Amino acid sequence: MPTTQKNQQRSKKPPRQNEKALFDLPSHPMLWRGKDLLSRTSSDLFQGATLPSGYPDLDRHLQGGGWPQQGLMELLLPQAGIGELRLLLPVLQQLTQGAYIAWINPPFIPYATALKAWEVNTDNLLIVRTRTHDETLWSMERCCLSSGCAGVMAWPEERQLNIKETRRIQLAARSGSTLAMLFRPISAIERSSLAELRLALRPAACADHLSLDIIKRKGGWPIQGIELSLTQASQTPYDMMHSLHQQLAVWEKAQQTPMPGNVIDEAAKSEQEAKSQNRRNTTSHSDTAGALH
Amino acid sequence: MPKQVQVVIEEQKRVSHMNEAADAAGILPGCTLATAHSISPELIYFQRDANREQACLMDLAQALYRYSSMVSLELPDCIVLEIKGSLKLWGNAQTISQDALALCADMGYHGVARHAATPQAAIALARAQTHSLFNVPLHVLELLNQGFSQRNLERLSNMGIYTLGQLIQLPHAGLGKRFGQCLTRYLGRLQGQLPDPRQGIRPAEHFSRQQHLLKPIRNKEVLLRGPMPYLTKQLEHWLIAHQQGCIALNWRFAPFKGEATRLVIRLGQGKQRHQDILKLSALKLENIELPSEVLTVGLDMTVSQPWLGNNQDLFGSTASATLAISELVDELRARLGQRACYSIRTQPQHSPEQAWQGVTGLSAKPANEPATDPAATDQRSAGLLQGRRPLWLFRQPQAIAREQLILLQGPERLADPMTETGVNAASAEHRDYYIARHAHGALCWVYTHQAAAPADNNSRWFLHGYFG
Repeated sequence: MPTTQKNQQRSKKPPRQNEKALFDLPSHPMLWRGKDLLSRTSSDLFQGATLPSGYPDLDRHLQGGGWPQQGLMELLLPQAGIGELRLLLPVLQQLTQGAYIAWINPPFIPYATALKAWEVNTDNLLIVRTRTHDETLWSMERCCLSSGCAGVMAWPEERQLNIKETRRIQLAARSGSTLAMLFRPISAIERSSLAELRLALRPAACADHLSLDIIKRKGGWPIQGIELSLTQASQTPYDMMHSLHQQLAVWEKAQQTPMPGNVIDEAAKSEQEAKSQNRRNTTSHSDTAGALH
Repeated sequence: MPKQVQVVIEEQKRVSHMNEAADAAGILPGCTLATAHSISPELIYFQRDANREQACLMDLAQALYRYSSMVSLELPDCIVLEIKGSLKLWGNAQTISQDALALCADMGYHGVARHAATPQAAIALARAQTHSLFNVPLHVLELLNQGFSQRNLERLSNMGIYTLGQLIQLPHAGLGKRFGQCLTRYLGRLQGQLPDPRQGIRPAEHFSRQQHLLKPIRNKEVLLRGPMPYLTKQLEHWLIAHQQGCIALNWRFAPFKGEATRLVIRLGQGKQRHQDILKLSALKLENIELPSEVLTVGLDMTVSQPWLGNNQDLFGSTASATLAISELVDELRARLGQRACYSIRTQPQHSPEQAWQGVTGLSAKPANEPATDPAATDQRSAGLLQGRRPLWLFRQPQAIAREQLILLQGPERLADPMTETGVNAASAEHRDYYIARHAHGALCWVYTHQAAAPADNNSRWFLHGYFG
């Protein structure tokens, strides 16, 4: 017994020292930690300037509490139109007030009327069409470096885009204090990129929501499954009868197998009714609609 | 401290110039090459080459062009700058000469700068390295170049006249009679009594320089420390003098025998500073194979553009942003074509297809246009428009299967622009627009024709935009 006690005592003493050493370790001057880098950059006002995204839930996860004001950001989408522009509306509103935003090879026409209604300054939008991948990269770089552009949105040729080019765009965006946004298909998730921030967007169950994964960010680990309500920024709910639609879909599915043709008609009719009611709601109480949702 | 190699320049087997090490060893100018060799056996000598001296003088004159628009050569050893016109910019002659000497030192030349009221006086002062014209000895004036004969010079020295001061005090008429009009003309130009038109150099239109090395270079590091900075500095002087920014340039690295290796550098933006150019060249140089021994380094500038200084914006005004953007648009259009770059405008049109317009380039600030879409024409409903039109519009509506859609809002009835413009406008068809969700998750703007009921599976549906 005494021997074991002794042993215990002996074994107890060194750990205490170790603990102390461990406790002191973070303050050791030779130790470099990733956090240091972060605190340094955030203290640097110019580097760390951010744009509020308009979504408090998202801002919480982003370094500095918003989109970076300069640098490269990637948005990976399975399909155009799932809410990527609504997500960026607050940014577009802010950036177009004093400077231009270049759209390089957008997949469709950015509709001026709608953008204007959402208080985006459409006078400060510039659309660029290119023929080759080289031209796309070149115009991205030129736009990033120009002091007149605050933002560059580009839809590059995915097959030809490589990691070196993302680095080049990132450097150009930094030196020109521009926010460059690359829109890439979701398959690019597998490919590495030197963007500061990479987001994967996926449609959520409801049309007014967007499911978002942060694949890469500064000062933190990737986060999955952030669900944003796009009405926070756009103030326009589209899918107010979401639960009803869901029920309808389930019901449709159940009914589909025995007698498909009739039921679908029925379902569509009831859906239509719901919709017309919905429309009446939105027209008469458009202000309260957002709050209701 | 490493011992410096003694170098002398010989002319007709006699030492004419030498470096400091040779001077320290006791070699005197004018001694024969054999004497010099006996003093210092390890000495290196080169033959004096008037053509190369002149080429160097010309290079230097090109660089000095930044101080004055009137730069002329006075062979064999002087460059004359007319600085009266530059005084306002630089302040005074002292500043210019200090700056010019620093530039010469930067290019590896040691110079003496003097300023005077006439070119000949400045040349005389600089050659004699003195500040007073009266102290200038006659033998340094290079009077022989002015058509003055050796015999006359000797005659002057026999008369006991050794300096310019003594010469000026003599009566000009008598001097002219005895020594010819050459001397009186020279003295007239010296004192500003006669005009002295000079032929100015023209700045070279193309920059193409090369440097031959004394010893072959095997190491890229050495190249980056020695000849390449020298050439890029020369390029910088050229660019400043021409107010150009460099876009593309060519390096040539040639061995003693054989093909030169070429290295093409492209700069996205016009650059002037030699540090920028050198930095990029260094990056590119890492990736290429050079000849094992480089003996000649050449630099040609192939493309340049007018230099645009980066103006700093004091108040962050939008005016400078607009200026910057118009430059950008010019640049984009120059490379991508006239129609590649446009801005979008709303149009006072009823139908969605016609309610937007692409304006090539940047148009002048548009006036407050009347609202466009039917919903926006009404002030009351203008707020409603927000969210009722898609952010993405298709150029051509696309057919879409009804089964893939879940209709969320609608319908909104709009006239079909195709039939509306037709002959029988009365029977114009209408489109019923819905906001719908596609099975793949996108929020769509779809329409069907008025006649068809939304539940009618046979009606054709079209996708006209995404809410994005």
